[in-house]
Amino acid sequence: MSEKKMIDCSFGKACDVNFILRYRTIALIVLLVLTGFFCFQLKNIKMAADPMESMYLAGHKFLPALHAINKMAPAPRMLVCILDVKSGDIYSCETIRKIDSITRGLMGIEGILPTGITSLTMGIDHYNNTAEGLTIESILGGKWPETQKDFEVLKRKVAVNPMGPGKYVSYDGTAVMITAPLLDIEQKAQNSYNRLTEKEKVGLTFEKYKDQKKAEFNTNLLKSINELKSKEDDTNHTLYFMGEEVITAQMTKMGIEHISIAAIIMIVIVIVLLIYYFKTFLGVFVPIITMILSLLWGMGLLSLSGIKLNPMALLFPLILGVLSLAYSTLTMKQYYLLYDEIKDKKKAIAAAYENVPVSISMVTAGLITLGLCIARVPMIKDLGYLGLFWLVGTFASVILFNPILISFFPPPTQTKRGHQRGIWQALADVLAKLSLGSTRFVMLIILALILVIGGFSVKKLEVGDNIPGVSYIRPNHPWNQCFNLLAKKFMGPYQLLVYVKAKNKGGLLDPDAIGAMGDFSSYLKDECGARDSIAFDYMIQMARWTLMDGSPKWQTVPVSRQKIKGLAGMVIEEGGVESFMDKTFTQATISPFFPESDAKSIDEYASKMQAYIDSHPSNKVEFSLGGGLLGMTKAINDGTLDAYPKILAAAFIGLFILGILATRSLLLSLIMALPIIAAQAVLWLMMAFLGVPVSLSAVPVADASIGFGSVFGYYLLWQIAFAYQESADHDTAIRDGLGNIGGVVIFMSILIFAPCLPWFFIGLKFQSNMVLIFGITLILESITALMFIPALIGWFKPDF
Amino acid sequence: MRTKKIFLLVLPAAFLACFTLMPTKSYAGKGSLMALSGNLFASAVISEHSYIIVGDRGKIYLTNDGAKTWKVIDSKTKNALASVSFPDDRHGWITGQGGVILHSADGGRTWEAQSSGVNKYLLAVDFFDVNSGFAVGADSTVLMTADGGKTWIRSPFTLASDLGEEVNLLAVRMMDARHVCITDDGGRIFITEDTGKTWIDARSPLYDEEMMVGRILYCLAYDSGTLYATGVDGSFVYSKDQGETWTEASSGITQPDLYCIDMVDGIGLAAGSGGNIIRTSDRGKTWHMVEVPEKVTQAWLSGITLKKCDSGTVKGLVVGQNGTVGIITDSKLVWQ
Repeated sequence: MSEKKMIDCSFGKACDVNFILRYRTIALIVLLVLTGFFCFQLKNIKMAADPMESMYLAGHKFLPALHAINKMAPAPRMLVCILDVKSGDIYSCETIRKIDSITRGLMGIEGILPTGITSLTMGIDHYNNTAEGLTIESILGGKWPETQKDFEVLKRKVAVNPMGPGKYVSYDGTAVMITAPLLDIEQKAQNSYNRLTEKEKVGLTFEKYKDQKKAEFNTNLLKSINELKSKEDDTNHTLYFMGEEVITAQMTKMGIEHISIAAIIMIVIVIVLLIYYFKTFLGVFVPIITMILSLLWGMGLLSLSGIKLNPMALLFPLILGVLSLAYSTLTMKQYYLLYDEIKDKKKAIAAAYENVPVSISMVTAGLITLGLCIARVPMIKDLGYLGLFWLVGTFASVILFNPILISFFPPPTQTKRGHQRGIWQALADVLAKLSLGSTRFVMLIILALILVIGGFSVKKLEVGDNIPGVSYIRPNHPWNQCFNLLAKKFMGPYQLLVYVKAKNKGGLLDPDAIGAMGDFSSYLKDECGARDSIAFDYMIQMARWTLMDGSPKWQTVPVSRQKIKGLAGMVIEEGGVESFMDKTFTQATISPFFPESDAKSIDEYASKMQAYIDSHPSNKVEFSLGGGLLGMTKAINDGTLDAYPKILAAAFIGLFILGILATRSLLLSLIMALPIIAAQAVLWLMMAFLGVPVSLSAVPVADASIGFGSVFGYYLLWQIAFAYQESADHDTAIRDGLGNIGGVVIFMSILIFAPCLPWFFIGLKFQSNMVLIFGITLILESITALMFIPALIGWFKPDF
Repeated sequence: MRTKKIFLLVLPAAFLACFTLMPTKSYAGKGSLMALSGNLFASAVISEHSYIIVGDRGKIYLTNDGAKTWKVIDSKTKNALASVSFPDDRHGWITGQGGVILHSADGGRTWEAQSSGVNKYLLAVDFFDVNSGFAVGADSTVLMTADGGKTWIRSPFTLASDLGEEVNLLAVRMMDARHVCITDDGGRIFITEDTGKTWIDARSPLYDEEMMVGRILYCLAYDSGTLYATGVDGSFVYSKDQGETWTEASSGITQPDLYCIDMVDGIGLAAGSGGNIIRTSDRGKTWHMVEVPEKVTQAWLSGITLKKCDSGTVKGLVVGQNGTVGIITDSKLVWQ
């Protein structure tokens, strides 16, 4: 065999296993002490306080406006309820009574501010110009509607009420919205914390106390609204809830319940598979302990680094842990196989941990995951660093800790070394046959087709599924059902806010400034496709109209600054408009409500809005885009779009370059890398065909799976290379190589995929998608490695 | 072997190239057809196929093809334009906020500002011919011109201030060069028989002298010697003696306010809040509701105009909130 072309195992040899085994006790103590140290660091792990912030593309042009808007008017704490009528519309005695019952029910829930509740039966006024002047009464009038005529009058009143169609009553009249403001829990927590004694405050910072109180509040709120829902739902009415507190409570609950169950099932699956495969205690114990150790080291290093973990990426460390499990299983398997041949435990351990390309693959996986650092999305960047920490942890546990641990146990007996041949190997044999003879060319043509078609299918891929809140949970979750109703039947939640800043303090009282806001708002409705757009000028118009004689000609902004000031003062004093205008009349927002939320539509809206801003410069105000659900989504979409192609391209190039360094052969590196690229191509084909968008959750796992996928290639190349040493014939080497290791590769992919299965079903969609993409990609990579590497070797006949 | 190696190099390169061409950029949307937008306050039929609409933020829309297409006309102002009057097919006047008066001599294609001498909101304007016109508005403002707006002078309207109040004058109608009728936001009607030199309180039947409150009348129409007015709570009154005496009649509705009315040859339309439109074909003796699309019920309607064109066809427009426009041809109403 040409030394030049031999797979370089110097990474493994850089750590002399015999040396480690010689001083195994000291080494073990050192490793355990370090493990204890990292365990201790776990309590200092910081979670990102604002998970959203780290998901935006850093430096995105929307961020300044988004931050300014959040500072100007923090999002109101609000519970939103929608009552949907299944058959008919809301204009019936039954539904009106139900709305009232729900309103009263909400008033009785602790944490809801009863006077602020707004529904058709409370808080919505009808203004009427009569002979006696302007009268204001409840929209339902003095008495509730009973007859058909009464409901016709109510319908007309709703139609012309500013809080009517699209706001508190759906456009089609089949649903109503009820809003309930929530207590400022932070303020309450501050007050009650101040009343605690010094003794009670020991070890309890205000932040911790506040978080506890918030969690308590959200949980109680969730319980109360669920009780209300059970009471009010009937055959013709369904009540839905949404709001930040609701989703936080629901996700926390799901997180605790679903993650615990999924974790237990995952451990059980892993144990069952390892028992099936090894049939020894060691075969189960060592891989599992490796997984745990690599997680502890990785998270410990993360804690030391001070990098905050985004709860949205909570399962990423778990995925890396599963990879460590796989590496450990591979090396354990190799140890058993080698012991079978050489019957010397020490030599078998050394050979297993020195002479296999596990370390090369580990380094490849670690470095490629580190490549996530080139992302301009902070969350993705931080996961890159986690990849590096994982590499250190996995190296320590697989290359150092595993051999030490195994050395303390007796060698495997003949009967208990687990499956060598069986169903996995039979599958591998079938694949081996496909790579020989004329079918080899068929495989190569398939590879070429996959690469080309898969490459073109990238053009069909779209970024999406990044809407905050919605994308975190399943589409059929009640919160999302409520959200979808809001989007479909009402003005909806899809806002792309415009931040307005006057060039001078108080400058928004200037008629030209207010007029400019109004013009932009009209443009948004007329040319941008917004269902509606609300800006402060509208409130000024309505205030003026209300104060005058009712003629619609008064529904316009005055031309005098003084008159505007008077009206603006009245509106501000009325309250509830903080998100539209600040008290100094220097900052404001324009809130358009759009119908669509896919990436293309958001880009179109943003593009048109920016074009308007660019073509309508004003010497009174500055407009900038950002904020609102669509603003946030665009910042995440753009981050995904920026990261995904860059990171994957870097991963492929990195894979190729590392492959050259490992094999010292351009050809062998390509043979190793092509099947991994093909697996990605198949994934893109599937996503394009099924219309699955590329979301932010796909980025880190796609990268990690490319890195890990190299293990299949390296292993196959290594085995075929060694088989070639004996036979000097490529076809024989392929047959023998696959005969030795093919089944192992297939089992490895099952071992990684199967534990992912319970995570596919958890209610936390964002996390579940990560695991799903990872699992599917790994399965594809094992299949493509087995299908194409032997065929490529058979065709190119490289020198080993 | 070399060929194989080249293949192995080219294929992944081609793949990477496809991959890096992942489309992402936002695309410029297509322009939309010109849509009438914003709050539209008044309209006029200039000729058979030529109509004009005015509204908030200085908007003027003109069509010369019977409303198939509309053009935006530069008004050179951002003030609300509340009223428009075209006594013939070339000369027209628009009034609005801040004392704005605009004049066109070419059928509405171009407009020039005239000096009103006031900065009040001029809510209504009416011209009897190309020379004689009246404009009324906030704070008891009554302006008159006898030279087509070259000069506007303030009419000595003091009836309201005599009572110690300034009122907003909402509607004006010229029956001829001398007889003019106006309404205010207190529910009163005033007439002049001497081109605005003196004014008389016409004693609206909707005004309670003792309580000093009245139902507001938002608009006036004049057809074949009869004046008509509509207002709050579906109020409807008429006068057959040039406004000297008034009679209240039923409009058939009591709830919505009626902001506008026009009548031609006994056929009339009145419209108001909640997209309510009523129609009469017997000079207001009886009225019938006109069915409107759902979207129109969410808008107020503030400008109705009807005109019998040279061909004998009655053409008209209904305009209102958020770009609501309806085109009337004889008895057919089509919404844009």
